[in-house]
Amino acid sequence: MIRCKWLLAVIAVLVLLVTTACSNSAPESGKKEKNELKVAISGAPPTLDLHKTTTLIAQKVGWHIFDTLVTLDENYQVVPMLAEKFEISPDGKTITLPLRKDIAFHNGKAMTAEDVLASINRWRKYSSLGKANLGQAEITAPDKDTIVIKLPAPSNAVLFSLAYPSQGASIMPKEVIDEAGDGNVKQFVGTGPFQFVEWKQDQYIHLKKFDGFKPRPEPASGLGGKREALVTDLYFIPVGDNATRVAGVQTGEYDIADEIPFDNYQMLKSSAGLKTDIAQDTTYLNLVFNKKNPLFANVKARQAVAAALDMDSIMQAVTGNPEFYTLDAGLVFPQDAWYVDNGKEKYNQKNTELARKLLAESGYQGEPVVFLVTRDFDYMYKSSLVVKEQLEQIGVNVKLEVYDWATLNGKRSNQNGWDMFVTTSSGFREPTAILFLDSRLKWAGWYNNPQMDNLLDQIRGSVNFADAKQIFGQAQALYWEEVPTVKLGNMNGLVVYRNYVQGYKYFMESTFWNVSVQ
Amino acid sequence: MPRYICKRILSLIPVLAVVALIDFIIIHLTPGDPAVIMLGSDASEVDLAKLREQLGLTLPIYVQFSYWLLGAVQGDLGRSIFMDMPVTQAIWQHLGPTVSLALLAEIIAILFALPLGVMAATRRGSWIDQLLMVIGLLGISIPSFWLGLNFILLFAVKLNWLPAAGYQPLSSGLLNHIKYLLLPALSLGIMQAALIARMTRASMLEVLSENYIRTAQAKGLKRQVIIYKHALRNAFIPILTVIGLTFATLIGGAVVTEMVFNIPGIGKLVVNSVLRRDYVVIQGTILMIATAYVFINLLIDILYAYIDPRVRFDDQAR
Repeated sequence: MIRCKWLLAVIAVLVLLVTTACSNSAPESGKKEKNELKVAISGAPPTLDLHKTTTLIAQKVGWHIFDTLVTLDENYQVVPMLAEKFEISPDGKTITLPLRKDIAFHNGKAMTAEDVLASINRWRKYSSLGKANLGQAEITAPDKDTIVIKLPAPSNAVLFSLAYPSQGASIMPKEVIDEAGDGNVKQFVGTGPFQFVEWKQDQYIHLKKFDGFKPRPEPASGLGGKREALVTDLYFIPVGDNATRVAGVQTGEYDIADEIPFDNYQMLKSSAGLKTDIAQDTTYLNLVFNKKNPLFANVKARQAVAAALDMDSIMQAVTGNPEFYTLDAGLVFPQDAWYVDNGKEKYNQKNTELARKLLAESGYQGEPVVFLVTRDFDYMYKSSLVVKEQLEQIGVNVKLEVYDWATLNGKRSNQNGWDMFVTTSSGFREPTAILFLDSRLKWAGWYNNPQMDNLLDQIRGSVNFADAKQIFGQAQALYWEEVPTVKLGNMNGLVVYRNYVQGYKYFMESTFWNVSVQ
Repeated sequence: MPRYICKRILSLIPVLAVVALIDFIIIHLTPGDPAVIMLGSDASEVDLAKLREQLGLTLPIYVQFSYWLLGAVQGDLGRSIFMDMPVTQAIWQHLGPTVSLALLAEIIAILFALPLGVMAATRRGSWIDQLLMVIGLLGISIPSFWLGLNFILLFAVKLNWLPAAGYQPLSSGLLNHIKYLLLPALSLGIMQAALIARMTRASMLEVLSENYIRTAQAKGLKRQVIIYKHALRNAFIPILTVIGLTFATLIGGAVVTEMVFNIPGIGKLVVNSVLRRDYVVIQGTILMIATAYVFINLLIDILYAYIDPRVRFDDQAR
């Protein structure tokens, strides 16, 4: 009798397994039952308060909720978004931004200049770009539909700063900002095509279509023009494990997955029901020197490293496929209007003889060079290993110290105990946003050259774009002369999605307005 | 019995105090900066310093510990730096998936382990016994995450029977709830089953050699009655201990399995909090896990008394 009970129990479990198995509703390729989009992202954002964080993952979710006064079109030119247009006075010191009428926040309240003023003032208090470019500006709201920015000197960086999406100048209701005080905002209320519904920690962030959204009449271009929520519900699901993100999109658990490891490309490309997208120039790999330590405070030592490196080997090791990288000396990406190639002769030199000579001139005596590395990001780890090997060939005694990302971040903010690390530098679409050039931003590595700061100030203060671009050319040439960091190469990204997802485009990051499911 | 339970609960205090202290010191000795995680690696040093101050991270470590301990004894484990919610609420939110997963994994483990363990013991030395023990050894040796990834590949990607990852709460329906937990529970359950089966075999072998079993056989009792009623019940105490320990381990969060299957449980909470350097959540969760361990052990001790009449804890029995 007892054995029968066990048998029954085992049978019951088996029946349950079969029943549940059969009830799985994996989508067939080519159709999606619900008008929703499930996006698997690599981690959860720390907050959706975009004024307060520079993390890319926060931007990835947040820019569906919040709009900005101006934004960037597909040529990285500033175009209006919540502003009807922008007018710059002939002396370049006054920028007038009339606001679009009848724009509503997700809480139903109409947007006024008072809300915009509160948002911009809060943003410039926290954002590096805001502090640098609008810190001295007088910003007023002469009437309920206009914002006026008065500058002490002309600057072409102001509008770009307001348009730049990372730590973007998001517009929120004044009362939400007042309620937040010095802390993070408690409610995520914007004017974007999607409104915030729910955040289940470690499970999902749920947004839904905002019925009161009024798209711009211009055709979509980059982040500008017409934005429309074409799905009713949008879920961002944090899935840290790469293999799980891949498997999830293969089975239809997720509709889109990003940050897919490159070695899955061939397999996913040939999978039925899936589409792959190679996002061009998502970021570039950058080897950062600690200029506060004696070795790399010496420019000869930095030049020696730049002379030694073979970028093709490094990028090939990182991506395993030439489709996923490009070798380029530019500090902004080639498709950007600011792109210049000054200093390119100093990039990818592969000259070990010169490197040895420069290293000897720097006075290097074989002391250990501490290279901070993390395994959390495959591309950082692989590139560091190849850089180590290449530097050892010219006689550098490289000592790898492997940490998790949080520890590495903690260590690199300390001026002692390290000599170099590899990181990614993404989204620099304008010269004054390049963190590692401007000494006043005190970014890790602490490059400090008054000549560079002066060139950056000249770019900011220049009203003529051609003049500014020419000055940027000088700044980039100086960068390759001084090598505060060594740019290794541009890296592409891999996104995979189900074939019923229509209209997906990558521009500076994944955007899900104008994306539908069929 | 009540006195025994009270005594055990009181003994919890020094255990938890030591756990809290060690836990706090280790976490704060680990390098890393929650401010960088919150503001991003492109944040300026000025903003980072300001946030560190706001979070109280610039206070001396003993002051931070005193504040945290004072709150903890009042049931307030602090507020998560990253999730911006009370730690107790974060733990509560993540506990449900872990408990469901642990229960299902344990049920699967017991359903497989007990019959197989008994079968191996009653057929000692036979090819069945040897085969079962080899399977058991494999079950213990194979990492559950590797098993999990292969299950995903087979049952989700190739056969499309079950979801590859994710979690649906019980409120979405029992079958839907189980559907998402079945693969992770199987990959965890198989390892636990191997442990329990080996213990069942060893314990049964010992009991089956006892004189009273021979007496029962001499009396002509049925083989099944001897095995399941007389032998298994007496062999059950060490088996129960293993079951309890494996369950306590699972409640502490099946860390890697939860990450692989993207289950928002305690294991995932701990890993994410470590990566984010969310100190208060790590401290609170470890304290919770330690408490769960002690209580589950207490429960096992109480069950001993129920299963084995020779074990008594109350004063009268003494």
